[in-house]
Amino acid sequence: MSVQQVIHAANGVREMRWVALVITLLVAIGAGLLPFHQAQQQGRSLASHEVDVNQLDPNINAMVSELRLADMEIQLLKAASVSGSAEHWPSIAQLEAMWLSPFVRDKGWLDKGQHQWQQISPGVYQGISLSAQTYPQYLLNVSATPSQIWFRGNIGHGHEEADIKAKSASSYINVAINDNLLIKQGWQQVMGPRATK
Amino acid sequence: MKQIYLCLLFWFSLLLHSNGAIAKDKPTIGITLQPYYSYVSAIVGDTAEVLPLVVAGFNPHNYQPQPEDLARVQKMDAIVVNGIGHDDFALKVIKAAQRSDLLVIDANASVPLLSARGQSVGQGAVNPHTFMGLSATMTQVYEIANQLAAFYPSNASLYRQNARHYGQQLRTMKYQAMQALAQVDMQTIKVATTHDAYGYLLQEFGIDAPAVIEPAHGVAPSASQLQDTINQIRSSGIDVLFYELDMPNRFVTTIEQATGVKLFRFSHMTHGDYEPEKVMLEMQSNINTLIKAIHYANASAQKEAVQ
Repeated sequence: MSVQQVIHAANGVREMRWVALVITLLVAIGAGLLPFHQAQQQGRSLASHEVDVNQLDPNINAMVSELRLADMEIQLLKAASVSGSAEHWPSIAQLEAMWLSPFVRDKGWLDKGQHQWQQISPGVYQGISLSAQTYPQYLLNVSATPSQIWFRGNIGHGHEEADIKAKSASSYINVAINDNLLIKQGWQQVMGPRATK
Repeated sequence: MKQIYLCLLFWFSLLLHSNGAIAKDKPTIGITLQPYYSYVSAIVGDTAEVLPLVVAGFNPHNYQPQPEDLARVQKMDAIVVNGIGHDDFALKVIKAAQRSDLLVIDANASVPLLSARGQSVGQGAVNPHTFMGLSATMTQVYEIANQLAAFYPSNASLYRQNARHYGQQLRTMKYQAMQALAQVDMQTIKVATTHDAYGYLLQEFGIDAPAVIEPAHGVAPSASQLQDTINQIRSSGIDVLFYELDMPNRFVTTIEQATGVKLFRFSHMTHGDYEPEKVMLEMQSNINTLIKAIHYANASAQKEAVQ
């Protein structure tokens, strides 16, 4: 009676198969667990009229940076004001006299579109460029909580521009501002970074 | 003997108590980078101690946290951070400290950020050098003042007043610079930079820097990347190259020789000692350099236009 014994060739094939099996298992486990290792998206998605501040055109980003700073300055100025009146917001002339961008008429103001600023209702500042076909118009609403920055491009042939220039810089136009009206008129709201208040 | 021991213990406990009282009366505000030392010193005046997380002389571009940093965090009541990529070492230390009572002030919470530039910059990376810009500096100072005011209401009015005074000095600096550049057509100015640190400052003056030599923040370019930059500088007609004081600039001379650009040197503000006046002095120095560089680039552009 003969005894047969199978002897595998010592060429590493079996070991290779085991290693391949372990690698496959590791990859499969990793792929299965990957969805649990994702950072969760915080906050809500943006509405159609909202624009993330990080997605802005560099020129608009530059103006938004100045408006965000102006927002903080105005809040501090108001907090320090003696009158303490809830409706007392600094005038354009005051802001210009403080050399506060984008209201001060310096080199930056010239290069960024020579916006004509007007306080259209308490705490709401609107700027329309003298070249409204080229530069967007902006709206800073400091009276909102939190403060809001809006912009709108290509506003047509300057009826609003002429209207605003005709108004006195020291008085309010008293335009009723609400989000729905702005959205309807094609304004876009800048979302983030965090506004004051 | 026993009486002497009790007496020493009493005085020791009294000393500990008095130290605790001082700490309570005068909070310790930590900072991670030199500019924040200047900001916080200006805001708090002598109402708080300002304590750097890391001793002077470190390079924030490659610093690794040390155990002593952890010990310093334990002494702080609040800490002001850049928080967008220039002090990641500090965020690691703060996390390791496990201080739920520590107020962490994100100085850039209200600053609209610029995208990082460079050949190897990752998607979504932001430029963390907000302390180099005038407006971004003012926004940070106000943010810090507002957060400290909320945390220490008894000093709120003082902190906000000091912040406004600081902002006023920076606004004056900016206004004077704008006046000095009133006759320059910024559209003709083309510049390159070694380090992607000046975007916030250049943006305020309407200047774009299309060529950034470092492929990513604090990373030296390879030979091929350097060649690409040289080609870009030649093809774009760039006249001015801004480079860093206190940082390795081995490749700057090569670029100067290959392209003929004129070199101007900025301070990064994150090197050297912690000094309350550092930001004002170095910001003014950077502004003076910028004005010189713009006038040079403008003259070069006019010369080229005539030819």
